[in-house]
Amino acid sequence: MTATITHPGARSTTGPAARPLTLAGLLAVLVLIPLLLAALSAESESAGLAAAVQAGVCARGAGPLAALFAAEAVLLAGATAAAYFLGSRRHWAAVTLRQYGWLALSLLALIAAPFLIAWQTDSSVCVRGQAFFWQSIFIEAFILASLAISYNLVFGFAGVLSFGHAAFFGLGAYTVGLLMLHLEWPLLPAVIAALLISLLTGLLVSVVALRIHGLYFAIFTLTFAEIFYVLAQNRIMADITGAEDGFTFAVPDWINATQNRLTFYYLALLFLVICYLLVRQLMNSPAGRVLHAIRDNENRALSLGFNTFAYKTMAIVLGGVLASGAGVLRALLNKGASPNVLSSTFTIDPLLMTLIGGVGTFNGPVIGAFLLRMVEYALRDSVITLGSFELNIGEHWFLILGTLFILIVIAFPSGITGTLRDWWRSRRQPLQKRAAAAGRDH
Amino acid sequence: MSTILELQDLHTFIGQYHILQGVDLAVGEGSVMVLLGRNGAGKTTTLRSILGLWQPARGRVVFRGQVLNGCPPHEIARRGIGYVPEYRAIFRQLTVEENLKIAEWRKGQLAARKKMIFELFPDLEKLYYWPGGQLSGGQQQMLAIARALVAENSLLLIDEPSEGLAPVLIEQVMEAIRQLRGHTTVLLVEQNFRVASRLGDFYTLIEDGRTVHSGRMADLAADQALVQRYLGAA
Amino acid sequence: MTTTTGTIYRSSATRRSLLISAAFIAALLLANLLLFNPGQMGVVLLSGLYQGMLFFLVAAGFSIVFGLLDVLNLAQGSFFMLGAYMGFFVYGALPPGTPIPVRFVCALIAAAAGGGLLGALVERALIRPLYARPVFQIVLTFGLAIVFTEIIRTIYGPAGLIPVQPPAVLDTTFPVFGARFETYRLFIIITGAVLMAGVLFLLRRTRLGIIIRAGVQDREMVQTLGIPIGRIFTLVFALGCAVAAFGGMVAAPYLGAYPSMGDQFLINTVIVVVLGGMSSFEGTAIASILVGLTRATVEQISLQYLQTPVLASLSILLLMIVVLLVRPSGLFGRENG
Repeated sequence: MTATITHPGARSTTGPAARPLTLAGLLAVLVLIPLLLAALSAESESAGLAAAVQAGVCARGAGPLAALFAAEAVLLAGATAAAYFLGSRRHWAAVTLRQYGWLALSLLALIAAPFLIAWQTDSSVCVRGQAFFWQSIFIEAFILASLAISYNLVFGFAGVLSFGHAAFFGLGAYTVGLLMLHLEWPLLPAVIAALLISLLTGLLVSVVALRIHGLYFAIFTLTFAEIFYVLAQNRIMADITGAEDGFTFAVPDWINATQNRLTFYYLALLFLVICYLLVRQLMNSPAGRVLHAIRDNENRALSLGFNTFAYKTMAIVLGGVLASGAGVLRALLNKGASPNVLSSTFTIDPLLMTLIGGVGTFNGPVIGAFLLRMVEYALRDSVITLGSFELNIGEHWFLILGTLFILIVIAFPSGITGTLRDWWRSRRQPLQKRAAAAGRDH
Repeated sequence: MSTILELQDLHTFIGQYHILQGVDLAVGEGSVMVLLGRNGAGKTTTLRSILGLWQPARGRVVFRGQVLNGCPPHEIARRGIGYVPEYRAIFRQLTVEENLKIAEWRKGQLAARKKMIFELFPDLEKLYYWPGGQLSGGQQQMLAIARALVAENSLLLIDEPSEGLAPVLIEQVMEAIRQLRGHTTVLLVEQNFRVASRLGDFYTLIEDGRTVHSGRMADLAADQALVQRYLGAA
Repeated sequence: MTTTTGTIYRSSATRRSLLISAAFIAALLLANLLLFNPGQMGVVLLSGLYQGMLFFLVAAGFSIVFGLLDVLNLAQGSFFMLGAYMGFFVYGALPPGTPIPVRFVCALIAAAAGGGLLGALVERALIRPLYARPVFQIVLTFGLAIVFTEIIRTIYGPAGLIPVQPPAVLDTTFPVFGARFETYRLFIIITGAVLMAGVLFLLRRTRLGIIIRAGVQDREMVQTLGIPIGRIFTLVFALGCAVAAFGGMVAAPYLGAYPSMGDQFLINTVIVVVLGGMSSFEGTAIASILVGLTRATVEQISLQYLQTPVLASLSILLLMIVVLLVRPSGLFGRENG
């Protein structure tokens, strides 16, 4: 039932199918080797591999470890670049590298980041210090990036405008926290329950409201999110939810970000990778092509016989589950939740990040999330002076955000990745562009 | 007879589709010119290109000696071109009076022309305060044409006025258009060759976005082979 | 059905919607009669009208702008807020000897004019370029709302301003079945009603009104009739913003002015417009009364039995959900929205 729908977003596979497993294998090797070496180099007396790794990893600076990661990164970059020049299309290693090389490189960089930073700032990865602090910035970026990816799935790929994404985010946070606080559930069941509840909510929203026209659906999601917010804030349920102040709950030691931040770091990174790969695999599959078709012209997709409703539901439900996963992480990170997680901030942020990075692209949301988070951190103390008027950027970050919003929408609607891609295309195909321009009317 | 409207090698794209690929047209003042052609040949696109609703990519639209290319639609309309689109496009939620009033450019235009309009379309006088949506198809068509007469338009572009109308109503509409001859020039798109041949003085035949034939209607009506070739069954 | 020029055409659908609205109001009145004593009831009903009028002042522009321009102006609430601040500014900037009524009137005029000018600017510079991309238009107005709120917060701080003094004659209370109600709020109700009538007059009896109503149905046809629809768009957008800004200043002596007042009003505005029917002005007018009365009634119930007004917001949100699911085109909108 494959209709001939062109799919300019994804790269076509030439030659043998891409092998994500190869990528996973490659990464596993790249990561395990340094860890083993770290374990071997540890001076700890305690028995057991885990303890040895721990000791080796936490060693001040972990210089050799970082250097090893850096060397691996350079090798990988070189191999990927070389793969572009390896003419033969049939060589599976070259194909895999061309497809996933840059991805693996970025991932490796993120894995190695704590160590590299520790090396640079001569602090430890496990104890309070520069590297430790930066981990928390990165963790927040990971969570936001996951949220942005989930939003991009619903808005950028399925073409469904939703103003209620924060509801899923907050639902995940509140559910996991409340279950662990009041019902004293252990971690894993609570997390699963939170994801399940989001899944059901997404289904409910889709079944109930998707049949109404897009604009009204957007308003519906806005209302829906607002209801959650009001419920979380109200004083009647204050005993349960803590009303405006929210609540806190205890988190198992191994995931306690104050002490075992590195573990949390990798957990958040793992979740981000899962989100990314899930969405990417989905959009490269036949189902993804259908979603693409629905976004471009729903009526045509309908007339081709696709059940657009089912596909959109799938996108919304999956997006909701991923968003609530991000919310769960956020609650675990802060060891608590407050109505803020249900506020419009967490609908605006992923929307803006997706816009900046590029709507409907794979890397866009991640780039947008990282960029935004890093810039916000970097500029938090900077001050702009306009004549006698001083503006502290950190305090007025929202103002910058709103201005960015407007700028992007007017000037760069395709975001960073989109604008780059258009520029790249226009350079490679000038003739076609001229022909198209000639055919365009005013 | 002077030429009031001239199209020179008009090309129009809709998106990437090259709809008009060189339309040439000359309409003499005071005459009724019929634009003929099969479905999808580009007749409606031609009208809309004249009006500026779809800007031509190449070629010229010359009205009364002035080039219209690049002008926004409302300016083109102000120069004296009225439009009666295919789907009648009267404002259903407005009354007949309001439908006519909105076409005025200066106060008093409607008052001056009311008598003429009621003479051409007596039904409209009866239904003056009725909402447009409650009129029958034929009455709506009359209203659409009447509306184009309110302002002092010297050229009327009429797109398929007989579409969807019962034969007796078609007669009425035809009669009305015939009577327009004294007041204004008409460029008419009409699929129904029977109607077209009885209304038009001249014709221009379009196929695949290009002018392939033009001349006096009387000559075309006599040439069965030509009619068969370009229009299929009449 | 023959009608004289300018009166509302009543189809059976419209008649049905009018009946439903009337039944709704009757139900609310009944609830009031049964649950509250006369004093409370008087206050609740007047309070409901007051809230309804405020919603109307913001929603009127929103509804017409959506109907004609197909733009969902999420920054509409911000204009309400900006109007309050602009009025405050003028109120305080006048020379010290100026009597209060003069200050008051100047503030109102300044708010309306400022709102209108700003609206015109926004439409030409930001909204115009995006008519081909409606989704981005919505995102843009969203961003604009944030920017406006933040600019005000930067200049004036988050705390808000103390309400200014209205003219003395309005600064009183009057008795309502034993309870007391602020005269100023009655003033707001009357002002709102006057504006309602004014806009209705504009739409039904003036040429601009005919053009707007025609443009809502068929934008393109209006252009081919020789009317520069672009200029009309800007005018209508500016008018909508001016009315909202005016509303903000009118409410300011009672509500004060604070940066987040725009966002609070926005969600209620959307509810009113959806309930009334997205492109129907009469629908917006009627719906704003309905929503205001509902809110006031439920708020009183909530306060009496739960000691917290939370049910008021929830009830309106639920009402919105029901409308969206059952009949998204609202009471008076056309079927396809």
